Amino acid sequence: MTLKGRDIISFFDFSREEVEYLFRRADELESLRRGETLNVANGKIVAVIFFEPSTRTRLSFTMAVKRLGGDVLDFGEVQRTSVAKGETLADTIKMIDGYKVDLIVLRHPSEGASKLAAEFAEAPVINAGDGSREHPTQTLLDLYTIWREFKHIDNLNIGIMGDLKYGRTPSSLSYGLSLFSNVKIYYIAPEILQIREEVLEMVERKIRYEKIEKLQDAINELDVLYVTRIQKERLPNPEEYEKLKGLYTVTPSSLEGCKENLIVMHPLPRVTELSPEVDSTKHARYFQQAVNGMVIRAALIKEILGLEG
Amino acid sequence: MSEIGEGRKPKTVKIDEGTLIDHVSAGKALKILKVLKAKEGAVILALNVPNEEIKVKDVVELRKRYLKEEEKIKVALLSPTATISTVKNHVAGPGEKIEIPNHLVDILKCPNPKCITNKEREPVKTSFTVINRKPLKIKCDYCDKIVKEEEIEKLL
Repeated sequence: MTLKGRDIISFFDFSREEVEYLFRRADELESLRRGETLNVANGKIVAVIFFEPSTRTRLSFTMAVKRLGGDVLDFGEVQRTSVAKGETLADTIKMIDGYKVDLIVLRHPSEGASKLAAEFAEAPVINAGDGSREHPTQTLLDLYTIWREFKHIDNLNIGIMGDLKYGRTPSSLSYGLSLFSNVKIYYIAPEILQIREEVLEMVERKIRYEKIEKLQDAINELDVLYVTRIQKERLPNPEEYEKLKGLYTVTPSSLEGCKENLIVMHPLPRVTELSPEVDSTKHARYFQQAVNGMVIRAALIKEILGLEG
Repeated sequence: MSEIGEGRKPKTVKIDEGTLIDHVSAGKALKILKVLKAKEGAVILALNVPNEEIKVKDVVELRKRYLKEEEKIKVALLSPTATISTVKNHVAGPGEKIEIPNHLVDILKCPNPKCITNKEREPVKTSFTVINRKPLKIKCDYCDKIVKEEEIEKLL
């Protein structure tokens, strides 16, 4: 199996075999978790081009490259660059690609931006988020966190909670889980923030699902609880937000009756939907999830660049 | 069942030379003129003509105008029943029914305002893949937006 030279535009570009292969390769990079740096990417330069702010993803990619021993060419803040002067994405990409970078990591507000970039760049392109559409490495790290915990994803019951309608994570995670067998998803949200029909249409023949309003109705069934944030601006009025905020907050007491080995995940940053008291329970995995993001990205970059060792 | 317009005798039309678009779904003729940017004075229309195959049809004759491949596809997207033929000396040649290709490149714009193909000055052509034929459903190759048959008209 080889991913050498591949563009990663959509999570749908991966097969189940490729995803599991990447998980195994990521597990081999255990030393990165201890803060070690490998020298497998010496002399390799990865361009990190972020057209919108996303500190976490940017840091995660940057650390992944540096831990492999490679170097990062960071495009900097958009407002200070030529883009502020009105340069097209195609021109920006052609210019950077002309430097013969080894890989381009791109985040852009327009949907389909990475596909366009890949058409203009000789170097492979990783989509690090394009608008509200895709963020394939986020899905990869979410699935990796689950796989690392259970050593499989088949047959698990996954609860996804919060703003399922407007958030990108719930739909991407659903698509990702649909690669596996006999997964059941509990979509836990108030009716106005429930998962979109188009997402269900895409996954309904591959997974089982149930839409519920209360976490308590499924807590004893869940292997994974994936919490996402409810954003104030998505709701019709502030009173509604205050009401829902309370109902959709996970605390140690809302986990009562859960399975022994339940894990709680969150893409971070969190606000009030996940209480800090959960951090000290044996269920919390969200900070490991962030570390897993760096490791799986390192594994992916290593494969795309065809690095040995 | 035979195809629409199939096995016909050559048809005599009003224009001397140009293009005949026949078997147009009733009510679509004016939209076709708009999409083809047909000039005034060079067009003859017949609207709501009774027809045994499609019950009622519109007919468009375009004088001294010949359609490019992408224009024929646009006609087919507006009216899948339409047949297109070249006219010489008031006689229309065999009617060609246009098959909508699997990929539609630079034919219609994407309705998603956040799609990269709608970004000003970006050197990119719109591109859609047909994902269902009856009813027609197409998907943007850049942003994955799905467009249904009834939405296509306003995107041409």
